[in-house]
Amino acid sequence: MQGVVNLPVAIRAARVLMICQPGSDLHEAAGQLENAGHTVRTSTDLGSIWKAPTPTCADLDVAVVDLGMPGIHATEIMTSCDHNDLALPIILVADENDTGKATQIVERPRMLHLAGPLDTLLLNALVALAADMTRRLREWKSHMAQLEQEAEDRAQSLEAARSEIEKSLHDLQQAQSQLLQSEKMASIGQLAAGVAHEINNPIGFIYSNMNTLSGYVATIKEFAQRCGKAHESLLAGNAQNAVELVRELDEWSSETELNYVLEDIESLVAETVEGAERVKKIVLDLRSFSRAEEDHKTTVDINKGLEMTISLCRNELKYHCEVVKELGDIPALICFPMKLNQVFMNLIVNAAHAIKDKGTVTIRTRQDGDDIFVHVSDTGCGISQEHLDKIFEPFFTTKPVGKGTGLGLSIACSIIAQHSGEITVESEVGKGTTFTVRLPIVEPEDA
Amino acid sequence: MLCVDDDPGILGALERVLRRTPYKIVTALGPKEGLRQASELEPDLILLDMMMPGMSGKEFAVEVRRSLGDVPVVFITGRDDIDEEARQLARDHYIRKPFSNRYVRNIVELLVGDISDERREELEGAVKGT
Repeated sequence: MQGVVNLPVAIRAARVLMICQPGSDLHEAAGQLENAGHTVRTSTDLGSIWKAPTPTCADLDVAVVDLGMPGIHATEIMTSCDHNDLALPIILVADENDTGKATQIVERPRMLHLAGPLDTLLLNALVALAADMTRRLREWKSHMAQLEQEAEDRAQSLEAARSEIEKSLHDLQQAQSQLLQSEKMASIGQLAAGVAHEINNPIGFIYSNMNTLSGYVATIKEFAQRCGKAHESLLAGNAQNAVELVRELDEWSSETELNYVLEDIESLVAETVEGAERVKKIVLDLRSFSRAEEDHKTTVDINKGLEMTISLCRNELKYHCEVVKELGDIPALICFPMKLNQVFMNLIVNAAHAIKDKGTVTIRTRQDGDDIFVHVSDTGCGISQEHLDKIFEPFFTTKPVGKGTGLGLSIACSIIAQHSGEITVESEVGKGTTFTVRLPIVEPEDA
Repeated sequence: MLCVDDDPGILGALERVLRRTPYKIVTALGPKEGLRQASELEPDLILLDMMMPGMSGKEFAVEVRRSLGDVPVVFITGRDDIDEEARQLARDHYIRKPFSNRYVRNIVELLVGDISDERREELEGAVKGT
């Protein structure tokens, strides 16, 4: 009985490919399907289903195959299905004679079997259902693809974000190390004028002494020449002339104060060498201080580093401060020595600058338990409570623009933190300030 | 003549430079010793380091002039720190480190030497030219 087909509203018109002989029952049913709203193409070539490249399958929703058609073999259908990734449902139409063929194939996914004499109504419903299945499958697939794409997009943007963060971290580290270096250079710059003066003194007297020495050398040369002449005339048997020459020599000697020259020449050389040593020491200290990077820790005597730093800061100190060194008996420390010296220099120069008129800077080291303590005290102006809260903050400075970077103490803090230690400060306005650096002798494992 | 400096190297050099001049030269290490020697010797000229621990050259000059009257001073300096006060105290006479021996002898002769107007002119030219 053929009549009204009640398809669920959700099921829309299907696009159908029919493999059948013209004139067969199935071929006749095509018209019925079209009446029901489906679009039907017919073909006698089974291969037209899967020989077509996959994208063309997108314009098909379901295939109907007449198993009774001559030349159709179950195996052919199966092999083709196995080798083609067709998401297309196939409805096998088979009468009693072909049921055997059909049961073999139906095992495969998306194979539907319509047995017995062709029931167009059932075929119609089956086509509609199969087409709906195809649509859902396709929707699901495209949803999956979309999800995959989204996941990939997200992964890509995560990767981009990660490399961005990595880059900015790298930039930050770069900036930090530049900042460290430039703060150090700035503090050296502050000292430069003083160092120039320190070098100028020895250079001054070395230069003068060398001039004096060249006069001494001329005197000694003439002395040797006069001796030589007297010696020659003595050898020539001209004793009287020799005596005359020696008499002249004596006269000349007392006139030129030859004895003084001979006496002074040794102390002149010694003083000059001492001056050259001073210049050498300043240059060596400055060079080791300004060395850019320290990549590994070494074992050093903190007191020696302090001595060197104090001598570099000497010019900032000596004219208005009395420097008291109380360097105690402390063990060697595994540390970044130049970084620590940078901290000490900062504290010592700060102390010197805190003293406006006359005062005392005391540098003290001691061991207490597992820690080394370095105290830098001054009898200067002191720091108000309001400023005390801020002095370790970066860019905080009370010095006029261009005089201080405001980074000294914050960098000092980070250097001491690298050594698992700490900096503390006590101050009283008008009385003075003491900075205390605590450094553990053995750093904790995870430091 | 008195030389005051906190650096024995500079004092040694100045002593040698001025040894064969007609003037008697006494050196003092640092301002404290300098003030003591100054009041004892009443020098005709003081060569004075600008920067000394405890007392600057300017402070020293003011202090010395209070007790000794208008004694001439020559500042020795390694810096460009000759300000108006220093200029007036030293009447434009200073020795810059590093110094040439001839310059030191010239400036000393100019300030305390018993010299002719001609020689004075010559020395003033030499001192300005350096």
